[in-house]
Amino acid sequence: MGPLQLFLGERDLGKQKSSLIFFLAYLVSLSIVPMVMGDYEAMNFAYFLLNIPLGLSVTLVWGYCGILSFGQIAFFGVAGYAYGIIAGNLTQLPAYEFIGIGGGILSSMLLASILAYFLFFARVENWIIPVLTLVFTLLLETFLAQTAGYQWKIGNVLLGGYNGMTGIPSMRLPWIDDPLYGYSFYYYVLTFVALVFVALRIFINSKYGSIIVAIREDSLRTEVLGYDIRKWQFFVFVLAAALASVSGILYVQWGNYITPSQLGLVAAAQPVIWAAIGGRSSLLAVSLSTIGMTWFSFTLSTQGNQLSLIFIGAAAVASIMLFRDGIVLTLWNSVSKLGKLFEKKCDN
Amino acid sequence: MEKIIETNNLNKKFGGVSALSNVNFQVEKNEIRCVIGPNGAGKSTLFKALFGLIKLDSGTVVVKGKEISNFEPSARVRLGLGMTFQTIRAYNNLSVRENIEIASGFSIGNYSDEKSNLLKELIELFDFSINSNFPAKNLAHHHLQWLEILMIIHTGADVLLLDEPTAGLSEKETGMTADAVKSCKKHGLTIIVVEHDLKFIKQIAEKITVMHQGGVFYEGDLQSTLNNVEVKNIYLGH
Amino acid sequence: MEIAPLIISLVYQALTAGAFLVLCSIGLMIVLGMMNIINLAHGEIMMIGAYVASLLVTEGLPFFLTLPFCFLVGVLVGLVIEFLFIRYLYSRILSALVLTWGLGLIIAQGALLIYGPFLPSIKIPFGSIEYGGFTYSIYQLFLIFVAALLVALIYFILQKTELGLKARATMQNPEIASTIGINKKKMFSITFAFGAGLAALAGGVLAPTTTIAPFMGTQFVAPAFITVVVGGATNIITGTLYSAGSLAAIRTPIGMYLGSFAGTVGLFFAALILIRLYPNGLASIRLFGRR
Repeated sequence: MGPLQLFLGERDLGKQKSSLIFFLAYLVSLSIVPMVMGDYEAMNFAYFLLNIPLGLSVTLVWGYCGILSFGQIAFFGVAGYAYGIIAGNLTQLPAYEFIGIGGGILSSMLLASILAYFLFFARVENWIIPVLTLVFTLLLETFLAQTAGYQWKIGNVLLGGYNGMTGIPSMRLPWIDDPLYGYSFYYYVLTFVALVFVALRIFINSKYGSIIVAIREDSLRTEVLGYDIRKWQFFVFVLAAALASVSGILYVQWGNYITPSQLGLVAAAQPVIWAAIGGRSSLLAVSLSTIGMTWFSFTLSTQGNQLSLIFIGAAAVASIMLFRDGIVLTLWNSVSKLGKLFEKKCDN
Repeated sequence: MEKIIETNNLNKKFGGVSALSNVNFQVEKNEIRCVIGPNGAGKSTLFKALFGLIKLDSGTVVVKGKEISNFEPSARVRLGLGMTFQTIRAYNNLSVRENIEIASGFSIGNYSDEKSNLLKELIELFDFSINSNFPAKNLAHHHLQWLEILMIIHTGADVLLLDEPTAGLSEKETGMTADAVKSCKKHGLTIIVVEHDLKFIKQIAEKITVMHQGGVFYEGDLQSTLNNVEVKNIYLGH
Repeated sequence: MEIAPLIISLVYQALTAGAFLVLCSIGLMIVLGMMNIINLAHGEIMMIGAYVASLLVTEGLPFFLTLPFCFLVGVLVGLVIEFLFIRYLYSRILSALVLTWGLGLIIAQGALLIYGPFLPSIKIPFGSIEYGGFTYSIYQLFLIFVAALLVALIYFILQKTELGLKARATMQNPEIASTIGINKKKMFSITFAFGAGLAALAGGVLAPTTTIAPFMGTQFVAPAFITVVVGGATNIITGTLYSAGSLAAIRTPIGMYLGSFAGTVGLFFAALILIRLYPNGLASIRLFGRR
């Protein structure tokens, strides 16, 4: 199967060739959108987009592999802090931001490997993973919160304790001196996220995706067909950590700061809720719900509205109870069913 | 003849109940072996022990000359073992084609001539399409049973362990499964079957192992097993 | 330094740590053992218990008299959650986790909006005594007593009452239990409500030891979850005791030398190692043969 066929594939929304038009339209509209906004709004929109890989990391691990991890946010946070430490210390080197990006992703993957080893090679029951990954991120948050003071300095960079790390370097392209901001930052994020999305989608539609789904569907059967599911779960978990780390790095390049609350209970709930609301078995649906939910939270909090957490919690509850497949996914399926009915009527 | 499976003094207790009690079980290459016994005799437990799905209290398992007691289940499968489950386990929500793809490790077509011929014969016998894009749960019950058998052959297994493969099948369908088992033997596979259906056993049996209360109670050919008074008694109870 | 007072101090610290873990996790353990569901709003229900205690104390009720109310409010909250949501999710365990997490967010944020960032704290009753150069809080001794009492109470209910017999039957085999006339739905509701009640009671009883704020549940959640994971779902009493016991034994020396947070981190690593060794939880070890 060629890459195009793989991209359309079986395991996500938009399987027909006609969907390509939709994808292109989507991409084009995302590209045009900043032109109707100012620099500041474009930065905000970039914030919504950069969270997509984090949402996708939960989708990969929970929706496609059946592993519910509540700790993906930990890899978001660790990568952000790691980028801050690496890039913050290596400012004399050329392209130090790229070293920071690489280091951030690798740090999260390393941490994920250690956790994954203990979780999957012990063949623990399903419910243990969400519990322990949640504990993991809470412990990390507590640890980072008590790193105030000058003894908590790595090279030139202060961890900053409860108030977090500030002054994290923005992104720069190698041939340009000015840091990316506003429109330039927006297009950087859009490109990065689009590439991640396409690569992930091709992966999930490949035979590797089928094996991952097989593990979700019936892990015993998969094991007894000759697949060492511990290794596959390990691999998926580490890959998901890499995805979450991309969001973490883009986040600190966006805001130039990170605090321990970015690894806390509320932050950890967000990507899981985006996946639950969007439809965890679809990359595209969760991309859409991530943009929607982050826009929603952002708008509410900038208006001083304290109800955003209540709405988010309520949306999660409603989604689980009423829209088992997720709101976006259910809507999409309804629309495409209507479309098929319409086609049939036209044929008659 | 070469022993393809050999267990030495397998013991397993669940709570106070002996599920396996000093089980010494041997199967030769290219045999068709039937394992029978009343409920709770330990037949399915034996299968699970062979695959490493339960932890034994003591005893060793040797497959194709290799001692595999510490092997993970997937490693044992890669040695050439395949199992179908009592409650049919195929991927109900995935398409038939995907079921076969996953089972084959996506290497359909990379088979020896022998295996390809066997598969051709079986598919013709079973008469259903393995390329269907419809979910496996849409299949009729007997097709689902056969799908599971086709899946494990697609993994490249040459030792098939079938746990009640004719459960819920009509007489005609049972006969077809028996033909399939004979076909497999013809092409060099070893088949071990746990079954209750006497008609099926009569069609395929060479040697029979009777289990009772976790132990191997009796072993013999079809006639001597059916004529054995004690074997009859364990079914009727005391 | 004399040995006897040192040993007494270590025992006291271990028992305090163990009692804390038991109090945090017993409600969770009961629900897990019965229904295989982890209630991620557990911390928030403990918070509700603490809030009830604080609000009633402000109204003039003596602290110890607030505790039954904490329990009752917890039971009510549990009944409502079970009735509205959990009963539809018995076979969708992971979805139940996400749902209870959403509920926890709503409860915590709701508390913030209704009552503001803090409630008045409750003064620790009793005071302390000194022995051999060490100080002992009498209230902590009370907590040890409460933890032991709860475990004994649950043991008694499970082993000596008809309800407990039905509960154990349902835990062992829910399908067969329903065929002999045990109402599975009712059993699950009662269990969930009771677990919530215990959580709220624990929150009330622990309230004097901490600040009373909307997200206070978080400090209990990590130790509670670790205890439950290590204990496993197979047997409530032994699971809780073995787990709280071993974890307390590990935590105490670490906490003593490196501080409380390091103690919790040590718990986590201990949990990872323990589940590697005993994936089904400590309760599945049969130290005394068949139970």
